[in-house]
Amino acid sequence: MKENIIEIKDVQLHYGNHHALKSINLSVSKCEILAFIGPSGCGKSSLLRCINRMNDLIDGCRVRGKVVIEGFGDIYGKGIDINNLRKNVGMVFQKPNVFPMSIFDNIAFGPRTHGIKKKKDLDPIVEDSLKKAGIWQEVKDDLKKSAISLSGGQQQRICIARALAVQPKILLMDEPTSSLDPISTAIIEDLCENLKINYTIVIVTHNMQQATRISDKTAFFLNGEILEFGETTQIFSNPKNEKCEKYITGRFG
Amino acid sequence: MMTVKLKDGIAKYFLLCSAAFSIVALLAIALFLFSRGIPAMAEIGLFKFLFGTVWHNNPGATNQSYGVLPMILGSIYVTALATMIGLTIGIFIAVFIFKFCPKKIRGILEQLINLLGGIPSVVFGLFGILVVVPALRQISPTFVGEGILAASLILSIMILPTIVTISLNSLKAVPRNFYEGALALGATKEQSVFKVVLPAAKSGVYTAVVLSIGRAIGETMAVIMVIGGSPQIPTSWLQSIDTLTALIARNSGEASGLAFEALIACGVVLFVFTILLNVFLMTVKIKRTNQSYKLTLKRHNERQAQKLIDHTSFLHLRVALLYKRTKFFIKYPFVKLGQFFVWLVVVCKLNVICRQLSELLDKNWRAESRQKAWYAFLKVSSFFAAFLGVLALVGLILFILIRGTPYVSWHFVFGKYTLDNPTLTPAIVGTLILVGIALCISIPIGVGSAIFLSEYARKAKGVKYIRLAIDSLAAIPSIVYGLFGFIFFVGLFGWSYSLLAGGVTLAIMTLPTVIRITEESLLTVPHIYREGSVALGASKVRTTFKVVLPCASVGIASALIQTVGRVISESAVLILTIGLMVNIVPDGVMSPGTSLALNIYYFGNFGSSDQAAATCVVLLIVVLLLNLVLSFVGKRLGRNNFKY
Amino acid sequence: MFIVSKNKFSIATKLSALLLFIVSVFGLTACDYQFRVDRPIIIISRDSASGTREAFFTLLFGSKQADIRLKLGSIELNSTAAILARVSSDPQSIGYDSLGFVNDSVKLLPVDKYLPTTQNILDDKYKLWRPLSVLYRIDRMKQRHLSAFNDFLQSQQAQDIVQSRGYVNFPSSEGYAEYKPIADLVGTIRVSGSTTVEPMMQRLREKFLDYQPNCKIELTAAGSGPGRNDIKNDNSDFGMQSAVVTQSHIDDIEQGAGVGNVGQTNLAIDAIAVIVHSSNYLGIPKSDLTDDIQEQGQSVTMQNLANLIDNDSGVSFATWKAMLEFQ
Repeated sequence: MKENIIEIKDVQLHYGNHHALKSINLSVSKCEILAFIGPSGCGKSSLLRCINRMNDLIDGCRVRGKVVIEGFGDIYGKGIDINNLRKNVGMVFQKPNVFPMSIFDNIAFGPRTHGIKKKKDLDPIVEDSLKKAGIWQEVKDDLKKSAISLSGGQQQRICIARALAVQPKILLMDEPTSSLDPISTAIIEDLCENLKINYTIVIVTHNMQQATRISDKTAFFLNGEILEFGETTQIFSNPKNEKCEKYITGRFG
Repeated sequence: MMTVKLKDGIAKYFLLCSAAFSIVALLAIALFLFSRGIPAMAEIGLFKFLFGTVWHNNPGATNQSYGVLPMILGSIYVTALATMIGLTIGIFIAVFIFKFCPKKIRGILEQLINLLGGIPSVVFGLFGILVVVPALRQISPTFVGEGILAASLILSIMILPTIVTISLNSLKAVPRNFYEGALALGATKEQSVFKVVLPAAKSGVYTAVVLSIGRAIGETMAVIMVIGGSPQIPTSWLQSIDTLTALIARNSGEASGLAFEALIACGVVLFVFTILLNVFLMTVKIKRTNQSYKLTLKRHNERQAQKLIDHTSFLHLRVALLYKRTKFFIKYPFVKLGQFFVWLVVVCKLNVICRQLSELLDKNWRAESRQKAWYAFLKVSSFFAAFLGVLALVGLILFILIRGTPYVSWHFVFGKYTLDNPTLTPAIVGTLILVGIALCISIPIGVGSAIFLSEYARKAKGVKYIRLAIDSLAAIPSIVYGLFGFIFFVGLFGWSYSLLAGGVTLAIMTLPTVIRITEESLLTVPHIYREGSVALGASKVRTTFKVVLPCASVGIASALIQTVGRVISESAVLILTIGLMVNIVPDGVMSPGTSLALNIYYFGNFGSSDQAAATCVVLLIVVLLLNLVLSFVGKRLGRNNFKY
Repeated sequence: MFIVSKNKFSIATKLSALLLFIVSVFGLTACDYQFRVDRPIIIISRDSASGTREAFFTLLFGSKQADIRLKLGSIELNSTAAILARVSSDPQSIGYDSLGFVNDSVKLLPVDKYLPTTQNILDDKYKLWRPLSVLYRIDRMKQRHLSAFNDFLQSQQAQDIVQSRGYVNFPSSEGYAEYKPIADLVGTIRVSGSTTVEPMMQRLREKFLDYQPNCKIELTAAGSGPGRNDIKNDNSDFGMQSAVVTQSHIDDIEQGAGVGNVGQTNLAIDAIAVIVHSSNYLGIPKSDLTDDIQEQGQSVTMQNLANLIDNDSGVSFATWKAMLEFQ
């Protein structure tokens, strides 16, 4: 039994008056892929963003409850160094958001933020991250090239490499392949399989086939609650919750 | 990581101070104006001041009188007429560029309008003295060319770029499916644009109107040269009158005692009016209607079309009658034959076209075609307006070039100034110093304020006041800035007439522009960049300065260049602060000096129009170069930027 | 039939061409640059900061000149040169300007039958003249460079320049001494004031700097009034004046400078010429000036000038003819 790296206890989230997350309880084990599935607008991304406190950026967002991450304790408690938290909990967004800089600068941005300035220290990190993201072969000849001149799939992989460069323990992915073509999607899904060895991945996805392909565990969200949580194979073959079953079989969503 | 937090805190504090600077500046201006103007008004008597019709402030006179009603009326009439002319032509030009312009010409036309916006007001003033006023003199019954008409014509050309640019942006911002929806219902192109898209862009047009009113009422240099200067109640388009701005500019140098305080009181009147106008702009919200725009034939459109036809037929008859009458004159050879012949041809042409028009309109009496006729007429108007606009610009530039280029020489620009051979060297050095001072102050404070407003405090409560202060600062007329600079920097700080006084005043004046442009470009940086950076553990300061600001670099460069353009073109502020020393190269920031634009005023008023025109040519070249640099920078930096 | 897109340009271009045509026709046919005596007079005047105006009004109205309001509807311009430019382009105009500035782009109107020749001025037959001078603080003259400049202004070299500029030398019983350059003279001299005096001062400045290259002279001109203010507030060392400096002026300056501390150096005599458009047959070009009496009916009287300019004179001349015939 793997130990838990994230424990979410009784988390409630409000956007102004809208009660977006109602009493969420969840545990994430180390080095596994957990998928959040469910219809649009039911809180998947919101919960994901709670884990690295990205919801702090949104005005009027209030979070109650505890999110305990290994090595930090309750990240909503006092005295938490947010920047350090985000260093350890990386995020990949739905739309690739490479900075308008060179590929090298994109990857090096994270390490530079956290104190690594010298080129001789940065070079191996950049190379390593790009290799882990599976894009090293394609870009190694011209790292000075502007990152925005790459294709969508390549950009997303750069984003992944950028997130990996700061050596996080956890990687949060918010629908990372929804704006990509099938080939890029396949590449990134393969990537996740490889990354799972060293990182814990939580992925939000609309694509149930993707969830079945890559995740170990799945959580089904509806209207701000987790209605079902368990092994992926078990949920998709034999869901216990009625609504979950309806969603999976495509009767709504 | 204490140091990061500390850095964050310090940065936030500095940015807050930058943003608060605008409030401080506004309060300072208000304070100094009011603290001298209000007592003056009290001493003169508020009613006697605002509604008195006699202004007589000769030094040493025993019958001094400070009634500014003639000037208030003058300002109002000039502004009203200029806005009416400018608005009509400007909206039609905007529509033309938006829809009816052939694609190849569109870019050139937009550039031309931009160029028009960069031409300093003194150049317009010179054009006024040398071309407009003599021309108007010919049709004036009293043979006076100066007055409301002259000033309004020139002002309307000056406010065209503002109206066109803002209206065009609002038209472009209207969702494309409005237009396409109208087309899909069977409307013609012109019907869709005028009936659907233009009303949807109403709010932008209203903004343009208010901004142009603000610009027109605050314009000093162009007005002072063509208004005449006699403090009488305006009763005709063509008589020598005065406006508030011209009064202040003309008299501030010599007035002292109560006379000077009275001028400050005039500045207060201008200040209050522009602030009120600004508040009005902020509170009046034009709701964009979201209902679908169905084309229904409204009653008033039918009536409009009917009126047009009747009017055209009537015109047709009148023209035919005129034609008959002119035939009569053949018997009298005293009439200049050429004149008559020309009239004949004109009348025939008019005849033919009117007949054609009325045929077109008569043919299909159905309401539908009348509708279409009306919109076709509007479309023709927009062509015509664009033609007029281009004509005005081309005429202006050609005139300046023809008049001035013969006198432009290497020596004129860079040689040593002597009385017989005035040169621009002192002016160029002065301009460079002014630009330097203004940029050093307004760019850091402006960019800092913009960063604070967009990154740190977008929706905080106190921000509303900062924004109000910035918008108010932007609305204050330049001559009021000049007064403030004179009282505050020249007098209170003890700098006396100096480039520093002028430069700092210019810095405050250009601050709102820098803030606006920078903030706009910061706001267009997609939020996902900020999120991406924050998600990597970067602090807010680092995110702002390493990720967001570089993305907005086009905007900041644009703000910088526009500031430079503004400083180079500005003269009303400088008249009261830098002392107009045209003959000696300034040796430091504390010495008096001159600038290129101010030199045009000097040459135009004090010396020869030849040198004035030549300086205009030099200035136009500089403005043109700046425009080119701006578009080049835009393309260059835009290349590296994000696609979104 | 009514398909606008086909005829997209035809109506528009026709209308535009038509209007262009009309406008140019107007332009060609409406040019009428001739003076007509049965048309209105347009008064061109300086603004109230001007010493030229003050001098002119004092000569016409006496000590009450400041109370006189310029006739409403007149054009007020900021400088001597602007007046010249305006009058030379407007057939119906009448203005006044420093004689030294006048050139042959305008004509001079005889006043009380006399033209402004040097002899007529010295004989006071032409009565419109005023002295050009500078004011200074006496205690400042202790500074060597300032007193040297003051001496220079009263020297022969300076008077040569005065004459070359077309002004009349200020009469001096003892004549003018030669200016001798002083070695190693340094200092900054601030000169400000009348725009009429400024061009001459520019020349004087250049000459002085030839003699004393280590000195600096800052020269600005915003009017005689500001020149007096500058002496009063110590913003300037020499205030150029283009009108008679009255006791009340001196009293006002003494409020800032101290009683008895105001000195004056006379530079030249300048006549104020009444100028009209070159097509105005009543006037004579400057190059044709003669000492003779001019024929009646062709000159304007001082009284009529006063009536013309004073807004409250009760007399208003609708045309040139009316003014010439008014008794």
